[in-house]
Amino acid sequence: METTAFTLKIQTELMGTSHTDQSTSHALFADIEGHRSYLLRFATAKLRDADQAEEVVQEALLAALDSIGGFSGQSTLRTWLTSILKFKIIDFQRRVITERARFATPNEDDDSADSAWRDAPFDETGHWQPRILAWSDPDGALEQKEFFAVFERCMDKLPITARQVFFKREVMGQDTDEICKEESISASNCWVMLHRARMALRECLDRNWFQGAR
Amino acid sequence: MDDDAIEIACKEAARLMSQSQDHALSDTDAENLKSHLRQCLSCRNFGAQLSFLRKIASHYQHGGAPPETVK
Repeated sequence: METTAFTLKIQTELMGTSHTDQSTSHALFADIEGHRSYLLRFATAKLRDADQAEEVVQEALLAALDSIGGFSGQSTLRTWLTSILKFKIIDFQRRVITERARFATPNEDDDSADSAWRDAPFDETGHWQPRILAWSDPDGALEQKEFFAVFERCMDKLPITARQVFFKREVMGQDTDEICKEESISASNCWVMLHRARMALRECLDRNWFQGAR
Repeated sequence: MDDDAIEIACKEAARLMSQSQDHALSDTDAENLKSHLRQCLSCRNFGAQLSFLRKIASHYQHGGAPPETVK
């Protein structure tokens, strides 16, 4: 439904453009759509709410469209879209804060039943079980779109707070103090989340990508 | 130099490696980790993969695979 509204707006915009090359705009539209899933994850990490994230991404995409001329091509399209999204998220958060009282967000959703999350990959003496084998040609994986699809699936398997902490730390590059504050969790809990998220992601990539290449 | 180093297990080494991505380790921790890594291939592999995880995340932030393969 949301996508349709966006598509309609795009089409209307394109019909109204006189000096822009339409085929270029169409290509850009397709490119922008290609970043939607990333932007949604980014917004979800910030807002903790899928519906709100959808709304804010929608606003950001429409804003991007309105100011498409502002995209200089100096940064990547994703970086440019993300900077617009960041403003939209701040706007949205301000609106939410003024509109209604803030409720404390429970963090109890982290004890996922997922056994892969709980089972530490160590034996009783604290040694790896099984051993960690080297990944062959990891940089080659960065050239492949499919690899990033696996990466996304692996992130999706993490319990929600761990996923957000990881996303903010490693993808968005926030510092840990800021993340703990935003997630309202203690520094040590925050750090444990991050460590477990890294362990789980490493294991997931190993199992779903690198083992096959071995 | 390693006289004070305590033997740590992989579990602790992994924790320290992860921690070092967020803030500097104490001298003792760094020393213990270094001497563990010298004798543990699994942990060296793990450390490389941890750094690579950060690299993946950074590539992901900038659009995933390069444009040639995305289009």
